[in-house]
Amino acid sequence: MKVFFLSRHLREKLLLIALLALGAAIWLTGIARRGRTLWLEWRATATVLATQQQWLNNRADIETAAIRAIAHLDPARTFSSPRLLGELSTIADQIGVRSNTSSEILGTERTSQFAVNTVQFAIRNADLASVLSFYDEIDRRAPYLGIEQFSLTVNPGNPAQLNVMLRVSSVEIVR
Amino acid sequence: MSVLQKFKPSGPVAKKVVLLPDHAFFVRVMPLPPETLPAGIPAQVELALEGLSPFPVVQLCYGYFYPPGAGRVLVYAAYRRHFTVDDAAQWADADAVLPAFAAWLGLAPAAPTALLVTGADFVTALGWDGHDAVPAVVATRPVAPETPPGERAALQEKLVAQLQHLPPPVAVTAPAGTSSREGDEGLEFTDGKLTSRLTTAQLDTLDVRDKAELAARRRDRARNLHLWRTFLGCAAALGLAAVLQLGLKGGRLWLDHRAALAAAQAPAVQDIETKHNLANHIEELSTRRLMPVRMLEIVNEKRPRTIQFLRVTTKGLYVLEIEGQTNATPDVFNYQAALKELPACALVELGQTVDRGGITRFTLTVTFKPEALRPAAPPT
Repeated sequence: MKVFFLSRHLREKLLLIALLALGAAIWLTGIARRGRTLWLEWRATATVLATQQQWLNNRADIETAAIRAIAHLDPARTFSSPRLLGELSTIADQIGVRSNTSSEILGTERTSQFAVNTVQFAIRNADLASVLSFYDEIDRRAPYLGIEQFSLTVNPGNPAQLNVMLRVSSVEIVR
Repeated sequence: MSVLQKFKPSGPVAKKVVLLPDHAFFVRVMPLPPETLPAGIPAQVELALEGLSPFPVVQLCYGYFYPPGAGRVLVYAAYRRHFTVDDAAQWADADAVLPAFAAWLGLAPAAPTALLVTGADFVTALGWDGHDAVPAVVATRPVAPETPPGERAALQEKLVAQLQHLPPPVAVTAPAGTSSREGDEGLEFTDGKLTSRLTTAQLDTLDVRDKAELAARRRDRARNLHLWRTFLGCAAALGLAAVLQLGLKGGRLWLDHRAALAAAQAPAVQDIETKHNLANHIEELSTRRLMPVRMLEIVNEKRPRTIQFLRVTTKGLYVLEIEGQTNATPDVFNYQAALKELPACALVELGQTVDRGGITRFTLTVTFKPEALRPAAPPT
């Protein structure tokens, strides 16, 4: 190789060096770029795996805690999404604000043993006593029902009337 | 295609050496004063040649042999016009041009040694005394090829007689060329068991060509060395790139494996995470429920009559955001101060406050202490 190189004319030597240098520069630049991407992906994957490993290491404790969390609950008193909506409507009916309500199922988070269902429930143009009654009824059903978010607005047209927006969740034990 | 053929690497090519007849040169061995520095040798040689030769140095083809540490220098020179223009043309692409006997100077024997070098039309006697790498005796005689053997023998005896106190000479033939190949360092000459090696630095002084031309060749050689090293550096960079590429490939495979592992574990982990979140959620429903009415009761205790609530919204379990209005602006600040005094409140922040038409609208964010909102124990 050395003989071949040294036997070339100067311009050919320079051309060969330039080609090699260019090729090496392009190749190494590409490798540096891909290497950086690989390194970032590597770190991200390592973080994900480490996090996953922590969850897996704590699996037994979490399952024990989950069983303990529902141990004191009566499955018959838990609420599925439709039953939750029905229960809220029943309460609204009992306190006389049924016609001013609207509701929407927001979603369900489920495991093989239990689920938590969430709905949004609105009461419009209700007086404070009705709102408090509604709240008390829900509170009485704790921990099977619970309020996650509560928003109370005074009706601009009639300050004695209130609009309530609730996000209510319910526990459902899967039998 | 022929252009490509030109770039096709060929096998190792022998170096080209032009070995001139010894009898064309006059040869002198000159002792050097002990204090002579190697850098002063070329000047000493030129000075000696000016004294020895009837011709100016510029009209001579000369060279010398001085290995570092030697106590003498071997100088040889020939009148330039002894060589034709055609001869000089042949020297242009040669790696070295030197008298035939100089090929054996690389022997530098440690013990006294004598050589009788026989060429086509000359015989040369070389003798080393074993104390110096430079021969003590160099004598040459022209011998015509048609000289009868008897005369040739007599001539050789005369030469051998000059090798006093030296062992009988070893007969060698003047080499026709070198066994060295392009790319090898220096030159090597062999005859039977004898091998003479001359370094590039030694060849620079042994070469009889024009010194300016040789200097230019040395510059070319140095430049070529730099270019070759740069070429090797680039090739090494490409090699490194290839290794890194393989490393990246391996890394990618390993990463894919880890990503596949993460994907395979994801459903199980998701299930555990969901269980954890839901268990916490259920726990919160029992022990840390949102208590908006209790929050309202607390903030209502200190509410001035001039302040009206327009909207209250919970943010998480312990934060209540109040939007209100009043026609007495100082009451907003008084109310904030009063809430801060309450043991149930951890933090009271006054947000946007807008005064328009005598009515001040404001936002208060109240953060309660968890113990102030602890629900009663769940029914069993």
